Amino acid sequence: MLLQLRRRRAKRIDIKKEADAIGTELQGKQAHVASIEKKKSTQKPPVPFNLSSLQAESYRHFGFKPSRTLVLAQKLYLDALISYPRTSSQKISASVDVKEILHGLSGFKQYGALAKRVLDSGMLTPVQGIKDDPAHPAIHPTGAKPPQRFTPSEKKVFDLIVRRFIALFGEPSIKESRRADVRCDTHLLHVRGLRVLKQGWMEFYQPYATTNEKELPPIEKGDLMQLASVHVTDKQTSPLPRYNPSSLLKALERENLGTKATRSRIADSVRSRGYVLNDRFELSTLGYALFETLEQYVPEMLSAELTRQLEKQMEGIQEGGTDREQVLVDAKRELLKILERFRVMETAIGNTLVGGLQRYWKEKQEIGPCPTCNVGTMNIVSSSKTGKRFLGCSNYKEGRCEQTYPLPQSGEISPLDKMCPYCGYQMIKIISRRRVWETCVNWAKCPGRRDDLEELGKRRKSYARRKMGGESK
Amino acid sequence: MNVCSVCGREIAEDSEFCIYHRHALDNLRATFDDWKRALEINWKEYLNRVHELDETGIWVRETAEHLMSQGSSSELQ
Repeated sequence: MLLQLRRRRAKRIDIKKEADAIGTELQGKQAHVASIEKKKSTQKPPVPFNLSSLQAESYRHFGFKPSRTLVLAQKLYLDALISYPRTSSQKISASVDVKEILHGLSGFKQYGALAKRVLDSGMLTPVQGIKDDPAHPAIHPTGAKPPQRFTPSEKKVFDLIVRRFIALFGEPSIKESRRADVRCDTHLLHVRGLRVLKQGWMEFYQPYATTNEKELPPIEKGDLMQLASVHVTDKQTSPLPRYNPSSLLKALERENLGTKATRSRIADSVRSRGYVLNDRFELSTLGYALFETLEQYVPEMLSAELTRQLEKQMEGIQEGGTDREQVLVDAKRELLKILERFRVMETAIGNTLVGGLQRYWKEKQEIGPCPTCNVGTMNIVSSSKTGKRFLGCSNYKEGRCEQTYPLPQSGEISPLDKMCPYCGYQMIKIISRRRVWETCVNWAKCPGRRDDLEELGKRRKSYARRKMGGESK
Repeated sequence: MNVCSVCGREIAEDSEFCIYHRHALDNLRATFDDWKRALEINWKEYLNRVHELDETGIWVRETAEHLMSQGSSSELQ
């Protein structure tokens, strides 16, 4: 059982020496359970999916980018398996025949038992969310059977949508959180646990409904326990987490920027245009250059308020409350003002952006100093003959250094702030789709990576065999 | 010299760094006392520890690296 030390008035220990002294003092001592607090809580089923929440959940469970989820959902919709996915509604409207859908789902091998349980319970009123969309209800299955076999990705998104829909009819889940205070001399330690007393809707929404907290072992007030091993850990205050595709989408929705259909494209563009370095949306040199340039010359272009206002007015047209002509005239006037300013500053804006772009390309290409001549820089170069990329020394053109290193042909490469522990060469990181791995630039000859090379050789042979087999069939 | 000695951007007022690296240096200076008190370390050890942390952002990391390469060992001790 892992206990955490709680200081009086919840003050953290800021001095390492003090923490070490307490650790030594507690080592091997006996403590007793001073009190146990129990708290029951009920949790209602999650609300129906709109496009943003489906995209967020799909990213959380499968790592699918929002745009990929939209494409998959669109495919399921065109196969008449789910309702129209581009909706912001969190409500299953009364016009949706949920009984019919559940009957349809009871014909599925995976969902049959769950759908029947809901039908048998007779509680056919789904939980509803707050957001509404007059054009389309929340995303739900139609109950129809797929016309052909799903691809693995389609299967995942469909499964998520169906289980969420069935979970809407579940009873609330009941959880009990327990907290035990354990006293040892003057120190008070605590341990927390969580127990699910009644699964309710969580049973229908497996494997997507999970609780992170551990269950507390059976302890009672007054129990004695031996503090067998006491560890002191160093921790730093953490910065705010960076955005990921899912949280960025939520932030855009919260700020009312973009529409349900364009938000995922915005997140994709930010990444594909190189404004950010990775899926954690860390701004790249180019991203900074763009931001700095626009801030300096046309700050109105960065205004979230302007975009929000335009979106609001367009929503107004859709709902019939705003005059279309007037919105167009207003938007045109505002945009022309900004674009006129942009045109006047065009050369200066272009020059500043080119500077940023050059810095960005340089950073993307430079891996580190050349280990052979120690003068040039190792750059990522593409062969003019084969188109394949490799590392070459920047001193090559002067005819002073011909050092090259092979590179993996797919994935994004970036240098790491460390050297290979086996050969001492520069380490690099490769991100290829969902796979991230680290290696050194000398990987083909590095004594520490022979096993990796053998493994790679085996994988290539096996792939070639499979391909041959497939072709002969 | 009118460019930041770390990244080559235009320097900020009264500084040898650009606005980002100057801000990073200000942050490094502001938190040094807490680290010194907590871990009993000097400026050089502090820079090294901050540089090694996964959570450290790019501007602070680059500034710490620059200061270490300049042999900035006596500042704020």
